[in-house]
Amino acid sequence: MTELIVFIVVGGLAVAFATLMLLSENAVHSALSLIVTMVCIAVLFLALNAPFLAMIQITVYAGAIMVLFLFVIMLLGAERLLPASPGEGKVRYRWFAPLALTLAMSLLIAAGVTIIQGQVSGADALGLNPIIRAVNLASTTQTLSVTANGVNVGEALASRKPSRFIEIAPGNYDISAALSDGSSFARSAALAAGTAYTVVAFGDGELAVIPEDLSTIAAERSARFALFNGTDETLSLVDRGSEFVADDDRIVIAEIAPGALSASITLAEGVGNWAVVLASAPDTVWFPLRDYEIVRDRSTTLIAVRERDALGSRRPLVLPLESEARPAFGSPRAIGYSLFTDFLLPFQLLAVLLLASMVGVIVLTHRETGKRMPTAANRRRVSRPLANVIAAQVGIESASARADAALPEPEPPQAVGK
Amino acid sequence: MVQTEAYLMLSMVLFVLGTMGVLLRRSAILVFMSVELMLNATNLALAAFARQWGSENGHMFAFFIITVAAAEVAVGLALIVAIFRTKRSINIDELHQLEG
Repeated sequence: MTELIVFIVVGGLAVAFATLMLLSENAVHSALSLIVTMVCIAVLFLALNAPFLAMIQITVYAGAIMVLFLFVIMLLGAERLLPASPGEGKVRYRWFAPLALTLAMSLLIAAGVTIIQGQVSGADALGLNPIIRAVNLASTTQTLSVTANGVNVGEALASRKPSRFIEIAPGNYDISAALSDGSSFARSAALAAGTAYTVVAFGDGELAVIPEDLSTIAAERSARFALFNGTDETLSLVDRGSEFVADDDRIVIAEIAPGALSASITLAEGVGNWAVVLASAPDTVWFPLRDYEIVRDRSTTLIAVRERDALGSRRPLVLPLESEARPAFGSPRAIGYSLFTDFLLPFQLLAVLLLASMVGVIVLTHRETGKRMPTAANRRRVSRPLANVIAAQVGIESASARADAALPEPEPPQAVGK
Repeated sequence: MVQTEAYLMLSMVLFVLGTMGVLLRRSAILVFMSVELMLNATNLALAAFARQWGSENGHMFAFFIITVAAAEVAVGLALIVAIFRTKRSINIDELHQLEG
C-alpha cells in the first residue's frame, strides 16, 4: 500500500514537472524542472529495488549532467530563445505542432493498450539454473572424475580441491564418479533450479550430493554455516572459546546424525575457535578448527569425513567448502559483480567511448589560438582599437569607429571540428 | 507491490512527453533536455523489467545508458556551443544550411 502511494505521488510529480519542463519559456526553469523529474525517477528506482541505480541517477543525472546543462544555458545567455531574425522561425514550422501532438497521443494510446494486453505482471521470474561442483575426499593419493548424465563436472580432481561450479539444466541426474584406481561411485539426484550442489566422494564408495544455500545473507556482516556429517558417528560443532579448553564449550551445531546435513546457521564475522566433537565424547576434540576466520557474505559447508591416507588408515577431516553468497538484488555488490564478469567487454568499450567523447569535446570547443600566423584580418582587428586610442588622444571623436570596436567582430563561419 | 504495468505506463507517458519536447521546442538545449527525459523514461522501464524478471541485466543496461548519456551530453553541448559561436543562435529552425 505504501509503495502504491509513493508511486502515485512521485510518479505524478515526475509527470507534472516533465510537463512544466516542456511548457516553460525560460530554459533555466526547464532545467530545474527536469532535475525534479530526475530525482522523482530516482525515488522510483528505490521502490524498484535498484538502490545503486537510484544513487547513480542522482549523482550523475541530477548532479553532473544537469549542472552541465545549466552551465551552458548561463554561458550562452540562452535563457530565452531569441531568433536572430524575428518572425522567420515562428511561421516556418507552425503546422508541425498539431501533427506532433497527434502522433504523440496515438503512440501513447497504442503503447498503453499493448502494455495492458501484454499482461507483463502475470509472468513468472526467470528461474536460475542449478550449479554443481565436485570435491574428492575419498583418497589423498588418487584423483577423481565426476560426471552427471555424461556432463563433465570435474576431471582429475586432487584431494580436497573442489572443482569450479558449472551450470546445468534442472532435472534428474545419474551422477557417477571414478577414482584413478578404477573404483567407481554412483548415485542419482534431482537438481532443482536456483540451488548450488556439491558432489562429495568419500569413504568406501560413498557419494553425497549436498545442496548449498548461496542465497543472499540478510543479516549484515554475517556468514552462513552448515555441517555435513559423512562419518558413521553423531557429530557436534562446539565453540571452545579463545583458550580452546573444554570448560567453556558452547554448542554451535548440535548432534548431526551420520549422513545428515545440518540446518544452516548465520554467524557474525570474526574468528571462530571451533572443534568438531563426537556426541558420545564431547570433551575430546575430534577435529580442531582453531582461529577459523569467519568472512562476511560467505556461505560455508563444513564437511566431516574420515579420509583415507596413503597408508590406508582413516583420519578425521573437516573440510570447509567456502563459496560467496549471492549479493542482494540491485545492490552495488551485485552490479559490480556482473560488471566484472558478464559485462566486462561492454564496460571497457564504454570507457573507450567516454575517452573518445572527451577528446571530441576538446576538439569541438578548441579555438586555434597562438599557433595562428598573423594574417591581414588579424592585423586589422588589432590595429582598429589602436587607431581609436590615437584618435582619442588627438581629440577627434569617431563614434562609428568606437561602436565598431566595442562589438566583437563576428567570426567568419568556420567548419566545425577544425 | 505496484504492478510492472503501472511503471511501464508512467515510463511511456514520460517518454511521450520527451518526444513532444523534441518535436515542438525550438531551442536546441531544450531539445537536448527532452532527449534526456526520454532516456530516463527508458531507464525506468528497464528497472521495472529487471524487478519483474528478477535479473540484474536490466540494471546493467540502465547503468550503461546513463554513462552513454553523460558522454552524449558532453559532446552535444560542445556542438551547441560551437554552433552558437558561429551563428549567434541556438534556434534549430534557423539551422537549415542543409536545406532540411
